[in-house]
Amino acid sequence: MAGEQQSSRPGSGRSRTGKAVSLARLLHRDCTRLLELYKEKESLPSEHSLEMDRIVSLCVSSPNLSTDERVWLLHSALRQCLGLLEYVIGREEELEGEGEGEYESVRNSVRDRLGHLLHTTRVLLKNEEETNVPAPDPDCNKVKEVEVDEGDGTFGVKLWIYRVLQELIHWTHSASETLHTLHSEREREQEVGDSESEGAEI
Amino acid sequence: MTSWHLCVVVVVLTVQENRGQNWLPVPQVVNVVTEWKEQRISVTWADGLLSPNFTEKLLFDIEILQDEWNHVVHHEKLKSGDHSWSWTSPIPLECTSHSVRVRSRHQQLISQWSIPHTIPGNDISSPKTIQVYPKDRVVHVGSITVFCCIVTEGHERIGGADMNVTRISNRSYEIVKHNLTPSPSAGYNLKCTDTSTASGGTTFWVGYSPNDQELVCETDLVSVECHWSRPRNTELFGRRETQYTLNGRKCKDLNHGKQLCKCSISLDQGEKYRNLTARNPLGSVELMDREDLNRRIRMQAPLNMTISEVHARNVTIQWNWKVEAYKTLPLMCRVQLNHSDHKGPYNNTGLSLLLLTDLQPDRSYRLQVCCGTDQHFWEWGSWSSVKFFQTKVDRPDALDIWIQRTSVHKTLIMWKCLSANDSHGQIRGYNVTLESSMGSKKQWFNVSRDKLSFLLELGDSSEDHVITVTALNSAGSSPPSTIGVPRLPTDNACSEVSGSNGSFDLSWPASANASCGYIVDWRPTHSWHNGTVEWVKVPAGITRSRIVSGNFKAGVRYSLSIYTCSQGAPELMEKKEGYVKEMVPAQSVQKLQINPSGPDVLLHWDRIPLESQQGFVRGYFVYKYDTSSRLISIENITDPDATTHTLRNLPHGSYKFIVKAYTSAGEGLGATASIKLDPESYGLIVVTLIALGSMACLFFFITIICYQKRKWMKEKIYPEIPKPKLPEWSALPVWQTLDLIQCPYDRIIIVESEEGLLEQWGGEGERHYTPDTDSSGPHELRCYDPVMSGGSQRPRTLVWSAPSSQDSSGSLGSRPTEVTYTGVQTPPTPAVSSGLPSPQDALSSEDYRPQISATFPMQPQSAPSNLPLLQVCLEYQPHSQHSLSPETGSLGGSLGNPTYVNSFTFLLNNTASEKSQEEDPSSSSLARFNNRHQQPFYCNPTYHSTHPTDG
Repeated sequence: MAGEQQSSRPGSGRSRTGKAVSLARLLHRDCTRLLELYKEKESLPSEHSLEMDRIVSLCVSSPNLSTDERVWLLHSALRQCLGLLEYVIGREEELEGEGEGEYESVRNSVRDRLGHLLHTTRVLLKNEEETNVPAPDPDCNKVKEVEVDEGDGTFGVKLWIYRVLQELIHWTHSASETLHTLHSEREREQEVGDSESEGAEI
Repeated sequence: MTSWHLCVVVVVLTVQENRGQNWLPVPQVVNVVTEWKEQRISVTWADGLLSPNFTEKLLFDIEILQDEWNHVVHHEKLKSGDHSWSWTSPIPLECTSHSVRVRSRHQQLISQWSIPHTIPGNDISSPKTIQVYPKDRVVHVGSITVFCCIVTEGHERIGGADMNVTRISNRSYEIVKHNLTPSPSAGYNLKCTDTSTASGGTTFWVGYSPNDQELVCETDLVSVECHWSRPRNTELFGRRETQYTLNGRKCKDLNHGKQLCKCSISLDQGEKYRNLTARNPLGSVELMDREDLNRRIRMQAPLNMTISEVHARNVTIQWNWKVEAYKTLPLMCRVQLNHSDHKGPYNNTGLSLLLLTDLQPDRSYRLQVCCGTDQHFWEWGSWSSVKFFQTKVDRPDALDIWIQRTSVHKTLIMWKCLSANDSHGQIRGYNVTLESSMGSKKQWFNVSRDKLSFLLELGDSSEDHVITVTALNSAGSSPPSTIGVPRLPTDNACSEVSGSNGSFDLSWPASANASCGYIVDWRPTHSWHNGTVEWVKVPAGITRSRIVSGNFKAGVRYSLSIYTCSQGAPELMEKKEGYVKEMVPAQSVQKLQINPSGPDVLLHWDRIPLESQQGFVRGYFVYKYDTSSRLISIENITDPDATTHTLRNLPHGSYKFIVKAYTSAGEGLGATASIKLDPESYGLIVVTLIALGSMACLFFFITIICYQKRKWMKEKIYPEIPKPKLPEWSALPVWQTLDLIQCPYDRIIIVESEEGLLEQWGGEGERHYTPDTDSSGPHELRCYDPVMSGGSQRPRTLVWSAPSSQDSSGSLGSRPTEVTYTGVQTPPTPAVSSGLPSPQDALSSEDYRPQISATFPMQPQSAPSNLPLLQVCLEYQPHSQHSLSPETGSLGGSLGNPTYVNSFTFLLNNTASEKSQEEDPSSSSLARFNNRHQQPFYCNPTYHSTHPTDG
C-alpha cells in the first residue's frame, strides 16, 4: 500500500484510488468489529443464523460489467448501507437512549467513514467521464425505503440490525476488492500512457 | 346464524312455559374483550330467559378453558350478580387458545354452561418462524414472568437447560423466569429454537417504577423551576424512560442528576399549585407543590457589574436588573470577595448600587454579587459575573518590635515582617532612631527593606536609651514603635519547662510593673542568631501563655524569657529552658574510658554535647556484658551530671561495658569499652620471678659452701694420688705410657645403601687428617685411643642409623638431611681382639646413645653418657699414668667407668673446662652436645659438607 502511494502523485487518480482502497479496507475492519460488539451486547450466539436474503440488492441487467460499472453499482450499494446504518442508529437511540460505550463509538465511526468512502467513490466516478454507467433500473436500483418487520417486536428489529451489520461487512469487503481492481487497472493504464508518451518523445 | 338464535330462543321459551321456573336458563355470553398486552380477558353476559315471576338475583360461575384440549385453568364462583368479569392470564394469551363459559346459579339450581367463547392462540396458525410471547414486555425487578415459545409445526422445542419449560399445548411451551434483575439498556433477549433451523425470540426489560418525591418549586418571576429527588433509578432507558409532566406540560430542560431532577416551565400566574407526574411503563407517581410562589422567589444574577470608585479602603459598585419586577422588590444583596469573604447583606428596594468599606489597602479583590428578596426571603439568587479590582496603597501599620541586649554597649533591635494586610503597600525600608532618655543624643538609621533587625551601638551604657522604629512605603511611614533598652541581666538562674503538643505552656506571677503586659521571647539555647529570636506580647492582666511557633523542633532546647512591659525598658522576670518534645540523645557519651584498679573498674566519660542531648539527660545506664555478649547487669546512674562510675569486685574475666545516657524519651546510643581482668597471668609472673630468685640464691649458697669446703671435698672426692714407685726395670719400654693423641678428623661418608646410610672414616681418595695436636682446629673431634700405637690405628667407622632408605632418599635429595645418631662402632682391631677394652668399646654399641634421651633403656641409670668420656679422652692426662696390671689392666676398665670420669670432670675442671670450651670450639661443641644430649646433635659441620649428594 505504501508503495502504491509512493508511486502515485498526490492528487492524481492513482493516489485517489489508493486512498479509497485503504479507506474501504479500514472500513471493512471497523464493520467486522462492529458486528462482534453487537453480538456481545445483545448476547447473540457467535454463529447466529439469519435469512440469507440481502437487504441491499442491486439489479444488474448485464452480467459482464466493467470495473468502472462495478464501482458505480458499489457506490449505489454503499449509499443504501449508509441509509440503513443511519436508520439503525436512530432506532437504537430510540430504544436505548444515547449510549457511550465502545459499540456506539465504533458505530458512529463506521457511519462517518462510510460517508467518506461514498464521497471518494463519487469523486472517482466523476473523473471518469467516459465511464459507462449502467442504465438504472427504476424498480431495482433506487434507494429503497427501509422496511423493518415490526411484528416481531424489538427482537425482530435487533435481528434486522444484525443483518444490516452483516450487509455492511459484505459491501465494504466488496468495495475494498472492487476499488483495488480499479486501482490496479488505472496504474496499468498510467504506465502504458507514460511509456507511449516517452516513445513519442524519442 | 340469526335464525339459529331465534330457534333457540323459541325452544327455550316453550320449555320454560311448559315446565315452570324450576330450572335456570343458560347465560348468554354477549361480549369478550381481549387485552393482549395486559393478558386480560373481559367477559360480559346476559341472563337467560326468565319467568316474570322470578325476581331474585342470579349468581354465576365462570370457567376459563385452555388449549386445544380445553383444560380448565380457572374456575370461579361469582358472589355478586354482576354480568361482567375480567381475568388476567398468567401466560400471554397468544401462547394458546383460551375459552370462556358461564353458567347461572340460584340456590340449588345450576344452569348448563354457556357455549364457550374461544380466543384463539397463535399456536394454531402455521407461521414459518418460531414465535415467542410476550413481546417487548417491561416487568418489575424481582417479578416472575412467564414466556411462551411456539415452535413451527411438526417440530419440538429445544433450548437451554437453564430454562424452566412446560408444554402447554401441542406447539406451545411455557418458560418461566424468576427473580429478574435490572436489564441493560438494550433489554434482555429470550431466544427460542426448535428442531428446525428456525429460531425466534423476544426482548424484555426489567426495571422499577418511578418513585420520585420531594417536589419543590421556585420562580425567578419569569419561569417556574421545580426540583425533586429520585432516590432510585428506574433502570429503564430510551422510550421506556420516565416521562415527566409539570402541570400537564411536558418538562423542558429536564436535567437528570444522580438523585436530583429539575424541570422548568413558564410562569402562569393563574396556577396556584404545581403538579408533577412521573410515568414509565411500570407505573407512575404524582407529586404536588402547594406553596405560594411569591415566597419562593430566586432572583436572577445582577447584570453589567461596574466598579465606579476605588480607594484604599472602600469601593463603589453598580449593576442592573434584567427583570423589571426586581426594581420594585425590597432586595437584600451580599458580596463575595476573594471566594471566601462575604460582605453584607445590604438591603434596599431594587438595590443596584453599593459602597463596600473596610477593604484592605493595596490588595487585589475578586468580587461577585448575588441578591434575594428581603421580604419572604427564600434563597439567594445566582451570582453575578466576576469583577476584579485593586485598592490603593495606604500607610503601613505599626511594627511589632523587640530588643535583645547583646553586650554592655550593643543592643539588637528586631521587628516582625509586616504581612500584606499590615504593610498596605510595598515596604521601601525602615527608620531606626536611638535616643537617650536624657535627650542628649539622638541617632537616625535607615535600614533596607530586606532587614528585620539592626545592631545599635549604645555609647554610654549608663544612660537609658529608647529606640523607635517605623516602616515606610509609598503612602508614608507607619506609626512609630518605641521600646526602651533593657539592662543586662545579672541573674542567670534558669528553670526547666516541659513542652507539650509542640508548644510551651508558660505561666508566671503577676507583676505590678507590667503596665502594658508581658513579653515572652524564645530562641534555641545552643545556637542563636538574629533570625532565631521570636517573641509574643501578652496583654496586661494575663499571666499565662501558650507559646506556639512553626519553628519549634523536637529535640532542640529552647531558652524562654519573660519580661514585664512598662513605660520604660522591659525587665526580665524569669528565664526557662525546655524542649517542646524530648527525644533520645542523638549521640553517645564522649570519650568513654575504662581503668582497672585491682578487682574494680572505673568508667569515665565526657558529657554529650548540648545540641545532641535532645532532651534533659536524666542519668545513665551502664550495661555490663561478659565475653559471650551476655548481659550481666544494668546499673542506673540517676545523677545527670555524673561522668564516672566504679564497678567493684569484678570477677576475673573479660567484660564489655556500654554506657547510654537517657532522657525522658528513652536511652540513646551507647559508648562501648572492654577490659580483661586476668590476675592469673600476673600471679604466674610473680611466682616465676620468686622461683628464679630462689634458685639463684640456692646456687649462690651452694657455690659458697663448695668453695669453703673445697679442700674437704677434694680429699673426699679427689684425693692425692701417690706417685708410683717405679722399679728399675721401669726404664725398659715395656709399657708404653699413655699419650694423648689426637683423633684425626674423621670424615663421615654417608653411603646410601639398602642397609641405610653408612658413614665411613677416611678412605681412598678422601681427605685424611693427620693427628693434630693443635686443639684450636675448628670442628675437630679428638678422642683418646689407648690401643693405638704408631700409625697402626685403623680407621674407625661410625655407623649412623639413618632413617629408612625411603626417608633418607627423600631427605637427601631436596632438603637438609636429618640423621639420627644411633651409635659408634669400632671395627674389630687386634687390640680389641686381645681382650683389652678400648675406649671405643666403652663408647660402642649398647652404651652410647647420645641422641636418645637420658632414659636410655639399655643404659644403666648410673652410667653417664658417653660424651663425658670423650672429654676425658681429651683432657684427663693424669689417668694415662695409672698403672695397669696385665691381668686386669685395661684402660677400658678405668675409662670405662663413666661415673668416675663424670665426677672428675665436673668437679675439678669445671672452670677450666669452660675456659677450654671457650678456646676450643670442638670442646665447646662437645659441651653443648653434652648439654643438649637429649636433642639431635649435628655438631660436625663436615657431616653435611661431605654428604655424597653435596659432592
